[in-house]
Amino acid sequence: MRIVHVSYMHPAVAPGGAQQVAYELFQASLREGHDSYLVAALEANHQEVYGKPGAVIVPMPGEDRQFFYFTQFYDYYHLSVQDSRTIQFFRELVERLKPDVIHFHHYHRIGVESIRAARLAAPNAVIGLTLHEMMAICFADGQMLKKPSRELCYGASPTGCNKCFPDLRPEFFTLRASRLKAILGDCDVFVFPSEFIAERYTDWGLPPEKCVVIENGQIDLGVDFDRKQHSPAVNRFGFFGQFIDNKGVDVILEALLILARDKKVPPEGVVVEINGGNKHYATQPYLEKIAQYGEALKKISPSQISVRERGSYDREQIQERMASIDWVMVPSTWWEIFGLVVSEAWMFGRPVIASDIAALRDRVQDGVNGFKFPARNAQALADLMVSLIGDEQQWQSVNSTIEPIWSDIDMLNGYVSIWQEFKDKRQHGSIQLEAGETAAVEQSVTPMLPKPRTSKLPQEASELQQTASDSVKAVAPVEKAQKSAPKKGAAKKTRATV
Amino acid sequence: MSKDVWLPITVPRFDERHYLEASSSAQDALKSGEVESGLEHYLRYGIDENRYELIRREPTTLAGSMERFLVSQSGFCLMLGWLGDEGCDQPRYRLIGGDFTIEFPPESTFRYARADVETSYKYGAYDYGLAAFGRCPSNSLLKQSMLLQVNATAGSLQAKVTPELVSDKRIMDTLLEVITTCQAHAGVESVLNNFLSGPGGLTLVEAFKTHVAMATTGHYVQRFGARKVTHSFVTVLFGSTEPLLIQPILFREAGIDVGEWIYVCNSPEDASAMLRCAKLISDLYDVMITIVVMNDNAGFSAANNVAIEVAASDRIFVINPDVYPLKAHAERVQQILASEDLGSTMWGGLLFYDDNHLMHSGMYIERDAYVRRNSLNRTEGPGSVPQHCRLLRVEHFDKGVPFDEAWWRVPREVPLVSGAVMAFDRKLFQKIGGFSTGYIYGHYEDADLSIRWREANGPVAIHPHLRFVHLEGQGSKVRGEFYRGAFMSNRHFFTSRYGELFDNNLATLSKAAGSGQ
Repeated sequence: MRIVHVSYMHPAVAPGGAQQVAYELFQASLREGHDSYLVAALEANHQEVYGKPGAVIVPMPGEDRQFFYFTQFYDYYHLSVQDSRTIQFFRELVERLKPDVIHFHHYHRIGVESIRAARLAAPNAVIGLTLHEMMAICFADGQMLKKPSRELCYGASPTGCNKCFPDLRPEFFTLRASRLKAILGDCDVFVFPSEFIAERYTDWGLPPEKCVVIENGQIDLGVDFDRKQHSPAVNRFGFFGQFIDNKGVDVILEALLILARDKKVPPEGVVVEINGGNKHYATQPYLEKIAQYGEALKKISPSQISVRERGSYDREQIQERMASIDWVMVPSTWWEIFGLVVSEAWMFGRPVIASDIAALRDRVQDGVNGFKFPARNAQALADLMVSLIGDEQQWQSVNSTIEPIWSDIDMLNGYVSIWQEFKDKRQHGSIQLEAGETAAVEQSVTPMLPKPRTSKLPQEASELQQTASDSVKAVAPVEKAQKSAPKKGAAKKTRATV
Repeated sequence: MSKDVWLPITVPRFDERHYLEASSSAQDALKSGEVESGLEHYLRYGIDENRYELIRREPTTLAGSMERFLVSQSGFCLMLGWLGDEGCDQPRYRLIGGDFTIEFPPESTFRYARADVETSYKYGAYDYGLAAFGRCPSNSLLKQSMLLQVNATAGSLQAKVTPELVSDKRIMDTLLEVITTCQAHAGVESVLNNFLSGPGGLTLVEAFKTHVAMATTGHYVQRFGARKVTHSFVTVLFGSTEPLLIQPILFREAGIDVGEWIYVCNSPEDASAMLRCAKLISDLYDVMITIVVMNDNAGFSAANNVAIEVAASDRIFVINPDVYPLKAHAERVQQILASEDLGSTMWGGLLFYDDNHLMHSGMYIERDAYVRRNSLNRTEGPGSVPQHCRLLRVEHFDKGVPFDEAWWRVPREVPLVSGAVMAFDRKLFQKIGGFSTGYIYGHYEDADLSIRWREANGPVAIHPHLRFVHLEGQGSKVRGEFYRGAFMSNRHFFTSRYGELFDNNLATLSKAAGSGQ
């Protein structure tokens, strides 16, 4: 297949989950023999370094198949690029590439108009959009946290959103949502990394028949790692991720304070390593809270509790950081959409201790691949830590039942099966072309089928497609997204018919 | 009138015979017994009327200050200040230059409360504030320092005034700001009606029309995706381009062919963004968009008139920027667009809050009475506030009621239709001169057009298939108190024009005319 992947940001410019997934999908598709390209929309302040004067789209230096996309007149309110010149350049690029598939991984900075442009440029192509976040639903950066309380929000509504943004009338939110839904209507398929976010978007109004769950896959960084390795007292906990308000470092520190004040710290003691960057994105009140907890911990229990802040890390350092801890804590206080860090923990055989919320609730199974505690409940976390410290048998049990992670190739195969299905639908007319769209089948490049798999996955491409097709038939009518982790090798796809 | 309470007054040089010979009214009063002597008549009337220059008058100096004197490019002038003339008769306001004198008639002035003056000068329910507005035939005469003379029988004030030279728009907006923010002990509705229904109001409308002429001259028109169309949507935007990015997409998604969509940009600072967005939406969604850029905010009427003039078709659909399709009813709208001759009727639409509740279904006229409040101001004589006034108000049928499909199977005549959705034939619209620019910026021009349409063209009715949702407040973004002042003023203008007509046509203009559910 000829595939154009479109992402917000690029891992080479700034790390981030969505762009990492898009990039790995792009790389995997190249490895599997697809004719793939990546277009990464960057922020305006990246233009000076990564852009060229006057250019909307520039090739990434040293790369034949990767482009940076600098959209002009971007409007955050409507996730919209309000510039025909920008959109024209994007449209022309797509026209030249003649893809079978254009798959977007975001709309922020890319602009929803780029989706429309893609449809016009490639009338017969499959257009997909993976929704890694909830910005279309929630104007508060997609966080679904109420302002200013940061309480969890269970559903957007015009009047509810007006409470977060009193300066914007309820009607604004009605129109914003209507516009986004209308433009997103050009997509053939919406992909979600978790059932949680799929349900949020179908509740919001995306047509369930277009919605598919495909978990994020990742390159396994722990292939050479001794997954059984652990400390004797299994008392070493690690936090990995961004040091920002929603990630719950404060919950960890509060749990430690509870242990210290209640004098419940096990004799083995407890070690917590904070591996977190981007602290500058945290709010000042949050950082002050963290500092207060840190000071309080020092005063109460300087010897039994060790908290070490190790700062940010890159992919090459993950193995070394994982080696020094037994458990990976994911105490997120917001709606975690997928939790790439969970996958990273499992790469290295680390059981996960996660908030019982959103995608974490679905992915983490108590006693199987980790443990859960009620989100934002430091007391529960403290109790859980006490129960786990020193229980080597428990750790080994969980460690042994952690399944290998869903790889980048697994993820790609899931995507390919979906693309192929919708490509067939477009070609066979079950998806109607709009007036003005031409049936350009004969102009498109003959799809390149995936090469036969090598060692990791057993199925041939044709088998995979057959499996995918069967899977669709089996679950299409009403079945909810599966609650258990999808099985490796299956087309990781379920209809989110909620 | 009890003469017992009068203070005894002696006028040694008063000549009874001479006074009676000179004053026929004194003779008549003496004959009728109203007065007992020529002296009594002189004391009661003659002194105040200055009929017999026997007593030398020494008028007191009135407290007061003329704080602003604005003169515009076209000769409009606005004087703002305060005057402590409580207890005096109506003063005369004169501007005296080297070789000329200009007078503001009382009807060109109004008085309003000044809390600061009441605090620092004299406490009490007296409207010390003074606004005087007029237009000099010469554009240049007032652009010099002059002497202001305020003369009442009992007192006077003289002050040198130096004009602030401003644009017509600024002088108009300044007065509108005063109108919208002022309060009056006598009752602000009554005070303003006295001013706005007279020469002051006429001058204000004239100032707006002068501004409109400037704002519309040399307007810029650009078409995107031009083609032959059978109907034109017209939407006026001010302070926002957002509707341009949303309306065509949602109408199209609903299956409505909008033909040509004309957006009038009444805020030229948004023109670049609007032209950019128009090209974008036209390219992406294959819709014809025409942008008309005004030089300034020309108001709803003039903007629509210009847009309709340049429209590529004769079938005009005026659509507010906060009007959107209802998917369940879009097919009916499309049927009208695709087939129907609009005829000689001016059509309005059914506007909804949501799928099931009407926002309104046509309009009618109500009239409210406002009685002058008790204050220390004069209640008689020129310029004084009448005891009461009545103002027309436009009201909506079926505000917020559940929709009754059975009632709306046929078109229904109504007194007025809202400018939020209007459909008509361009030639008939232009035959009656289009929307009136006698309303400042916006409001009441739709009611005005409805009345004139019925008189000259034909029925005014609600088309049961023109169904839309009206998201009030998501249209143009008005900024500034003067827009509220314009809205207030327009009600007075509308009343001046149609108050009598309403009284004589209750059956066709009031709620009694129907046709709400």
